[in-house]
Amino acid sequence: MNDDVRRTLRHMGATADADHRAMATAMQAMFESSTTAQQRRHALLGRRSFLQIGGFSVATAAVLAACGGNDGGGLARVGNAPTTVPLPDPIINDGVLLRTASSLEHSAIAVYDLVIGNADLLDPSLDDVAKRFRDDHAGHAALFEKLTAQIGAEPWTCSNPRIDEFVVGPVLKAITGAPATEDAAAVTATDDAKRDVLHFAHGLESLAGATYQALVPLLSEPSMRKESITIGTHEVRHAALLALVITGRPDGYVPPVEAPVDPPEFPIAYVIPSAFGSLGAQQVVLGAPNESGVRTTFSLDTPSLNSFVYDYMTPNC
Amino acid sequence: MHTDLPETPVAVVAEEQPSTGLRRRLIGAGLIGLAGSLVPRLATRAGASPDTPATTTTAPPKRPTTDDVSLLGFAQSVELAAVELYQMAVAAQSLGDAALAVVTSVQQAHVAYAQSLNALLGRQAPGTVLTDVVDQFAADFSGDEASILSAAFVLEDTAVATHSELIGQLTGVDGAQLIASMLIAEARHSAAFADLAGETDLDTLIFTSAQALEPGEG
Repeated sequence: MNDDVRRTLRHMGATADADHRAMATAMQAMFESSTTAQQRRHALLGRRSFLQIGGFSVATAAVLAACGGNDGGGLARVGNAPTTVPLPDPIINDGVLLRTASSLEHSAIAVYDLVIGNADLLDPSLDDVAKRFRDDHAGHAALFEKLTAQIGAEPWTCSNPRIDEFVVGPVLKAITGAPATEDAAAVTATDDAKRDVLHFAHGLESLAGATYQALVPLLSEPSMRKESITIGTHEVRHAALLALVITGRPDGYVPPVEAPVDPPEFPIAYVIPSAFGSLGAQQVVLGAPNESGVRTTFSLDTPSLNSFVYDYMTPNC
Repeated sequence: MHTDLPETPVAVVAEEQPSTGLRRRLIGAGLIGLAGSLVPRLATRAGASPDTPATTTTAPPKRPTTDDVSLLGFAQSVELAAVELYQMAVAAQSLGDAALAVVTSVQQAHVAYAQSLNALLGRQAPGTVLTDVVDQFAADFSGDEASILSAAFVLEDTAVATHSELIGQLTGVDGAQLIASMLIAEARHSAAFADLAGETDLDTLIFTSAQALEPGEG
């Protein structure tokens, strides 16, 4: 037992002596050594220490990188990928909103130009009304272009590219039919082009009215809001008159108190469809029925981020 | 004293004090590694702003301003006058089924407009009827169907003109948005009444020809 204690004490003493010598050596090295300051720095952070620190740093960084998020998003690639040019930041301001408004007018003008005088698409008795609506749209477009220029933006004198691509083009194909292409199957022409044209015109006029109502809280200047909503009242009156042509009198004035049990094949157009102006999508059903007897439904939404005519866009007409 | 010293005395210090020296180095290394790993992330964040030009936009206020409250209160008094006039029209019992359905629907719409303005203005809503308008149209709204429909067309056209002027004066977005949703429907009302009254002139059917009411009237 005593031997064990003595051995332990001797071992502790030896450890203490070693610690003492080490400290003395360190102090001597620091203050009494003949080495230069450069050598001391190298000694303090010697090669081994440097490698230890460096290795640990790399390991720590690897752990942190693995735990962190992946913001880069880059995909590994093989070969030479073409350089991509990022799109400019889309800034929505009064100029963009007014350019979008004039683009919508030009899209409507193009549709009227297509059907006016075409007896297969529009009853000749409605040509004069359609011409009047077309001229109203031309006046609206000119006013929006003038307002655009007044605030220092570039007026947009073309139709809306997005609406043309995803609404006007497909709708016209559904009405007139289209042959098969490499990318798309053939489209069968509708069984009643005149009916579908009226429904589409009603949808476009309602869409225009809803758009100018939607612009009111977006435009910064009250004077521009007034111009927008004034034109909106013209558009919804166009839609109201078309509703009377489509649905007839007196059924076309207001919806019945009780909705019909069976939903109609085509949404019924009313002069006064709701108590407040609606900003919801306008549903237009047209085209030939498919093998199940179902026609295509097109949703006409007020312009938004994808269909705004931004400052960086170049005219396509 | 120097017998156990290696060739490089200072190097022994590192070897002979592993417990404290290694701990410090580990901590130091950890901090270095942490700093190294954060540099790219922080640099990315810091670099996001200098190249992006700040866009200055002056957003209009959302809630009605003091002036807006007065204008919206005026709009409510116009709506309440319309409600009263359509009540007269129904009470006259001179309307056919088609006209009655439209008048009833439009009257309910004007009730909804007045209530919506009440909700927007709260205790500041006047809740008063614009009596001048009621007095101006009362006789026609109490007459036969033709006079009611013609007067209703003029009343709706007047409401469209009045609210269009208000939108040009309202600063707050909430009030302008509500008036716009009413105004669009009132334009449809005027088209319906014009058609019911037998109007066929497209200018009359499409454009607003009535004079706007001035706030303060009544």
